[in-house]
Formats: sequence, C-alpha cells, structure tokens
Amino acid sequence: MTLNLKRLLYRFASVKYTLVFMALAMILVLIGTLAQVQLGTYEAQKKYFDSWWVFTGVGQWDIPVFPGGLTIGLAWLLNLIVSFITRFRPVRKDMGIFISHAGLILLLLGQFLTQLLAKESQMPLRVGETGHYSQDFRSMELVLVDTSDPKQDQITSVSDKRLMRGGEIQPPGLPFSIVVHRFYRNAELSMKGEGGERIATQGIGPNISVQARLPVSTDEESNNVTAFIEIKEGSKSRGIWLVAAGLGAPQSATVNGVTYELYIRPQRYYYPFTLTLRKFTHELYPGTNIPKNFASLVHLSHPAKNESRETLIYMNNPLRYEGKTFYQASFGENDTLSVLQVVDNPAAITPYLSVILVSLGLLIQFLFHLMAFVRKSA
Amino acid sequence: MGFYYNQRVQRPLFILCLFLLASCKRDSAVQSYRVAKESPSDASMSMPLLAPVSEQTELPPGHPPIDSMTMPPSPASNTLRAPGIHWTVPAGWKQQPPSSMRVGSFLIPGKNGKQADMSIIPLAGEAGSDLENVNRWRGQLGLEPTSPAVFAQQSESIKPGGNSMLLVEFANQNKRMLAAICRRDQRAWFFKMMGDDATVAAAKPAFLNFLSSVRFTASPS
Repeated sequence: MTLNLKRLLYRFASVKYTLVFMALAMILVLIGTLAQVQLGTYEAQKKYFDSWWVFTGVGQWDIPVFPGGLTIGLAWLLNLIVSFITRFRPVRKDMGIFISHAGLILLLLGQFLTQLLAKESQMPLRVGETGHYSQDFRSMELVLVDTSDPKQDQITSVSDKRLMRGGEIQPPGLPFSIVVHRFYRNAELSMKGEGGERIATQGIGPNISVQARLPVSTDEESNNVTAFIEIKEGSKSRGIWLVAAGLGAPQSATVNGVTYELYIRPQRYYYPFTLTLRKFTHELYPGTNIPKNFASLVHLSHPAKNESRETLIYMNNPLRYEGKTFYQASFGENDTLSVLQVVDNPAAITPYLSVILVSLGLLIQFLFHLMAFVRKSA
Repeated sequence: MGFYYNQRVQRPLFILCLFLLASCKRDSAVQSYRVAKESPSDASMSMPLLAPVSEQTELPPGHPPIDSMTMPPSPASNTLRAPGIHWTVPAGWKQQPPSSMRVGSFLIPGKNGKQADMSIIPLAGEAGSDLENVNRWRGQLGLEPTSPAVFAQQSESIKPGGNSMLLVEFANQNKRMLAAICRRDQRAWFFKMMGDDATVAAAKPAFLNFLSSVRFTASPS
C-alpha cells in the first residue's frame, strides 16, 4: 500500500468525519421526518433514507442536493471500520471501547443490510381462508402464467424495476421474448379517442389510450403501473399488449399453441407452508370503543416438515417462522378480515447483538476505570 | 507496518463487499416458478378496501398507529366464481355480498367519495328484448325511452373474451350507466354498472376488461 493511501485512510478514520456524518444524519432525519407531511411515510422513507442521494427537481432536471441515508450510513460505517482497524489495538486497557465500537459497527452494518435486504408484505386473510403467499402492494410484477397443467401454474414474473429499464427481456424457459416499449410508473387509462398513447395491437389495449400521470406519493393512493409490451418469437412479433395494474383481469397471449395469461399484480412471495385464519378476535375494554386486543388464531401447516399446529398472533406477539415474522397489522370487514404484516429481514438479529456488545463494552470500560480508581485511592 | 495495515484493512472490506454482492442477488428481476393452482377458498388476491382504523375504533394509549401505511390500496385482482360463470375482479372493486338476484355485486369507489354499483344478474329465457331492458334502465336514470333506430345506432356489439355481447352506455346530468347483455344457453346475463357519471366513465376500461375475463362454465342448475 502506498504511503499516500495510508495517509488518506488515517485521515478518513478521523473522529472529525464521524461527527460530520452524525451531523449529516441528524439533518437528514429532520428533513426526512418533516417531508413525511407532504410525501407520506413510505415515499419520504424511500426518498430520504432508502436512497443514495436526495434529488430535487430543477426545471426538467433532477439534481442531487444531499447525501441519502444509504450514502451517509455507508460512509459512517466505513469511517468506523477504518478507525477501528487503524486506531484501536486489542490491548486490555481499551477492550471496552473496542467491544463498544464493534457493536456500533454491527448496528450500522445491520441497518444497511436491513435497508438492502428486508422485504415487507401483507397477507390479508378472511376467516376460513388459507394463504400461501404474501403480497407487496408497493412493488408490482408482470406475470405470464401458463395454465395448461391442470394442477400447477407455471409463472414467469418480471419485476416493475426490470420493466422500467425497458429493452428486451428473455424470460428463462419461455419460447419468446418481451420487449418493453413504454413503461409508466403511474398512468390513467381512458377509452380510445380521448388522446394519450395507444400502440397496443392485441388484447383490450387497442380500445384504451394511456396518459402518463405523476406517481402518487400519499400512503392512501397507489400507482397504476402500466406498460406496453411486445411478445416476440425470434424476430416474429406476436403483437403489442397493454398491461396495467388497474386493468386487473388477465389478458391472454397464445404462442406455440400454449396460452399464457398476462397481467400486472402486486409482487408476490410464495411460501412452502400455509396459514389458515381460524378466528379473529377484537376485544374492547368494557363499556368503551377502545380496543384491548387484536388477535388472529391461525393454523400453520407445513406438509414437507409434517408440521400442523395452531398459533395465536396478537399485538407484540408475532409468529416467527422460517425466517419470516407475521405481525398482526390491521383488520376490517366487520372483524372477519385480518391483515398480517410479513417481514423478512435476514439482518433482524443485528440490533440485538449490537446493543449487547455496546452495553458489554461500556460495562467493561466502566469497571476497568472503577477498578483503577479504587486501586489508586487504596 | 504497510503489510500489517494492508491485511487488516482489506479483509473486512472484502467481507463487506461480499455482503453487498449477496444483497444484489435477492432482488431478481425475472423469475420462473411453479405454484399449485388457486382454489376459490385460497386467500383473497385483492387487498380489501378498509376504512382507516381511526374510523373504526380508537386505539389504546401507547399503541402504535395502525394506519393506511400498513394497508396500501391495492391494484390487485381477484378471481371468483358463481354458478355457471367465473370472472376476475379489477383492482379497487369492492366485492359486495350477492343478493337473491345478483350472482355478483361490486362497489366501485370514485373520487371525492363518489361511487358506482356493478351487478351481474342472470335471468332464464329471453328476459325481455334488449330494447325493453335498455328502456327500463333509461327510466332508472330519468331518461326518455329510445326508439329502435336510435338504439341500433347507440348500442355496440362486442366480443370480449370470445363471448358475444351487446354494450350500451347512456347518462343523465349526474349519473351514467354502462351495461352489457350476453345471451347464451337459454339464459340472459346482465352486467350493469351504474352510478356517478365520472366514476363510471373512468371505470369503463376496467369494465370492458372485466367482461373479457368472464368465462361461462356449465349452466347453473
């Protein structure tokens, strides 16, 4: 390693940078929190914390104006790691500080991984219904379903992020490719003849024109993700379809004698086990409308593991199973519907470990100083 | 010092890079998998429309808010079956309990609290001529009956999903009606959407797509 780089690393390890990153983080938290009033919780979180840069629109341009949560977090994490490596020595005297800093690094790393890896979705279940998948209503997917097998459906899914990139997609195992001609994060569909774009030649699309709309940002609204896609068998076009979340019902395309249903739906996560809602309980404090408890009695069945049991999910008592956590999130339809929030976070354990490490480090450091003080005064 | 320094810096950074690479793999853009076919008793594919919790009940002190953030509205679909027919419900349509006449019933929410009602009613036999039915519906909107000549001009023959249907649309100052009549197997099927003018107009693409999702199975007994 050259001397210059070493010097640069030493400089980067400075606590001054730590303070700068902390200050940036505090400013970001403040503006991100205030922005929730305008944008809603989800969009504000996405714009300020789950991003590398915070952009603002100036005319037709989006200009980065402030580092996003990921940038600040990563820079802070690297600063801690480098200072940990360059400045700390595993000597007995510094053991407490050493462990506390390791805990801090783990905390930042855990949060970073959570933001990159964690998935949240919902599983709405009416009493008696069985669910084997959850849905992320913030992300959409284009699905092509081969329903020719009487028992199973062959599903090919293309995420909205991939559709947004455009170009040609060759889904594995399918005898055709998909060309994305247009993609709209949000669009309004209206009948033909009222302006807007209409390039579809197949399905319901030729009757409908599409007008781009600004993506909605409040928590109460959802975007009508829309695309024009062409199905191509080699160089031969099978036509252009309009697919949109707002159309709901599937359209069909036949290629090589196989009919595929195609539609846009919320991103799904399938599980090898099922949950059946046996009973939903919504208890109130006597004589008031204040809820005392929401509880879902669910039957968990995992045939591959030969597991079949009932479990109660209620506030602060989620079901943790196969790396997923099922929380009681909401309810409706006169207490016949329960909505479970499904969180899949492989880094969920890191905050607990880091808190233990930081506490342990501080305790050791405190005891070390206490002992030195006692020894001195004796 | 240089060597020592080098090793100690590189290893954690290498591990961090591995973590980042692993994270890229999780969000696969194109996937292919097989799943068991869904049965009607499976969990709903649609996110039900819920009133905000604050409208339902109060929360206990200290309880985290259960708001629409955990319940974003859904653009999902829902496949349902009634005797002799099945269909897929467009996003946002709220299913209502069927009545004695209706095998399917939906509420279509519009802007500013406006809404429209959608019904699916099968009737045995001819169930009146198309013109008679349309004039009866026009009466529901306070419109004058139309003549056979005007009716022939204003109605449209469509074939969504391979089923021949007659599509009609008319409106008064506030309300609009969109209806399709399908006659098959000695039975007339009426698909009728009525309600706030703008709501019905905006729901027309979804209505047509709904019609194209309709599949007739064996006739109901």
